Amino acid sequence: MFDDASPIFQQLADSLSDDVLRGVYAEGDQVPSINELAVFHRINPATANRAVSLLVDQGVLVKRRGVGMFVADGALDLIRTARRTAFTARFVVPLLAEARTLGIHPDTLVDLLRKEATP
Amino acid sequence: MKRVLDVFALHVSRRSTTWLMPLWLSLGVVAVMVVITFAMRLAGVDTLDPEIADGLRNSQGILWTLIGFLIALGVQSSVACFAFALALGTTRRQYVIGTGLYFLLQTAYLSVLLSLLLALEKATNHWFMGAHTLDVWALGAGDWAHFLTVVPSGVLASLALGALAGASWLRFGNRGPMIICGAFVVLLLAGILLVMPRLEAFLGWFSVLWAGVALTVLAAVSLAGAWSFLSRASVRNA
Amino acid sequence: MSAAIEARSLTKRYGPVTALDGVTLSIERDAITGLLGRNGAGKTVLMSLITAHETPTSGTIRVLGEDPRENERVLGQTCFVRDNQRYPDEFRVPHLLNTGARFYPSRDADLAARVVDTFELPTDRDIRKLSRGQLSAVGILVGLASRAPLTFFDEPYLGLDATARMLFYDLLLRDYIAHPRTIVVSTHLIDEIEELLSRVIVLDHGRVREDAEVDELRGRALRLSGRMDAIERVTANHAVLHRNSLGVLGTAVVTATTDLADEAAAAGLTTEPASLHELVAAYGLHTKEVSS
Repeated sequence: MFDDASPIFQQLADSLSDDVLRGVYAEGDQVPSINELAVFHRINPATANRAVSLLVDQGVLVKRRGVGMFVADGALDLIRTARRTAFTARFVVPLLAEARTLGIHPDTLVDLLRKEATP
Repeated sequence: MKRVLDVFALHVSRRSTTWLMPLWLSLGVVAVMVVITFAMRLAGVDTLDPEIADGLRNSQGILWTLIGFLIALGVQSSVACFAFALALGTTRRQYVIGTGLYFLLQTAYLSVLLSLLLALEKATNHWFMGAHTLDVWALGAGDWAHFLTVVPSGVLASLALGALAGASWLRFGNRGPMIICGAFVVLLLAGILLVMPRLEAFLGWFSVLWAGVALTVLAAVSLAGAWSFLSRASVRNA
Repeated sequence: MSAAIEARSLTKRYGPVTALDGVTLSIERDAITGLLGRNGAGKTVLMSLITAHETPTSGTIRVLGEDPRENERVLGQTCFVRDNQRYPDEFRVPHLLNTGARFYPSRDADLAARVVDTFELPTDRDIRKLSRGQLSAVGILVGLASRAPLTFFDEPYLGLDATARMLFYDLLLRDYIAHPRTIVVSTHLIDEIEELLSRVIVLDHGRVREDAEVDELRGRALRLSGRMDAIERVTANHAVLHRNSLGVLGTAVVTATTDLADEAAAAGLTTEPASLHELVAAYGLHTKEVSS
């Protein structure tokens, strides 16, 4: 599940954020414990801890002492905003680069987008 | 202290080696002598004749066979469990003491076995045919005080010598036992050279008790030597 | 972070061969540390010195703050089963179960039973008659079930098929989480196990090449691919760990620096993070040319 491209804790954090984004975990839902995550993904619990801590720092998750980790209120907006900011660098720039390599003009690109977008 | 007992238990858990081998050894050694005597009878020798019986009492085959096997047993015990005991976090000191305790058990066991066999031999007039297996001069010619001094100390010394040889192998590889043998031969030669000129005095002074003490000291020295070898032995070789 | 094990300038020589050369490192308490390196790099020797199976030629080793040599208190908390471990004659799996229970107060009978079950270990056979894979499973049984505060695994997966290896990783991880303890695993199969590790020590020819957290190490090197002449140009002032060429094209594993990725991209090269496996292998191969 994890590749070499970036630190595992980062990938796990992203994966959990994805889950929140897609509605697997709603705001207020409990997410698996660090140990459960470690066992499930077959990773060191310290790594799982780092991922969760990262999300807590970002305000996506909140820790309720003695109970567990929960999706924070407003997490969905937080993630969407962060993803939107990253959207250009993550998707648009590589798309343009590939299009350029293939000799596809940005206008043609827009047409392609429109065609794919219409159901 | 507990770990020393654990090492002891480790050795004992090898049930066949601990309980069956000495039994086979004792019975085997007696059986061989009986068979030889039987063959002699078949050949016409009257083994029940007192003069011939006296000659038979000189036989030492049993002695050397026993010693040989016991040394082998000592080697096996010291080597077989060493690597595993250390894998479980045992110190060399704990291992040597635990193995020493195991040897004490073997000594007691064998002493009982051989005593029972000697008693049986005497009760059956030497196995019904004058076969002197344990009633031999080397072991006291049936005298219990002599027998019970020499046998336990002899068994312990043999086991300990085996442990020394085994430890030398663990420490030096194949060269080890050769060095031990060499040293032993040298010491034996030195002993003979010292004793021979003064043989009369020596025989007068010699007593079974001293023999027992000497053998026990030999056992202690061997175990100490084994410990010294094991201290520097690497576990790789085992 | 408190260190369970500390080595300082540790050296071990066997005659003319230097197995460990001035090794200085520390191993964290209650973490799973990987000891990576090629065969002969010194992994087993290091573990032998830590558990006092061998004595150092020079340097010091401290386990739980003390010299482990003939140290009952410290050694009683260690368990080190080698990859070619010799077991006492007559021993079968049930013997191990009893012995383990006796030697380690921390030892768990249920876990031991589970390991026997998982690997389908035969209980009626002399251990010396088991296959290579079964022997490894036996080693895992002894090491894992001991729950020793300092447990060492020396290439524990030899002879195990992929499924069995996964089972081992699961058993190890679950038990470690439930009962945290200091675990050191030596391996040259890095890909599978790297996610279980928190820290990694890379040995090469008896020396420490890396001693870092896994994440830190993963970002340590980059793999550049493309035209060999471009690669040579870009990496002129960098530490190249390994080169591999195929005609005019090639790849190079290079220690990462902040500007390297940009320079490589500018030169039309593809840049990817080098996997831990590649990094370790590159150390072993140094910078030998390997043409395919």
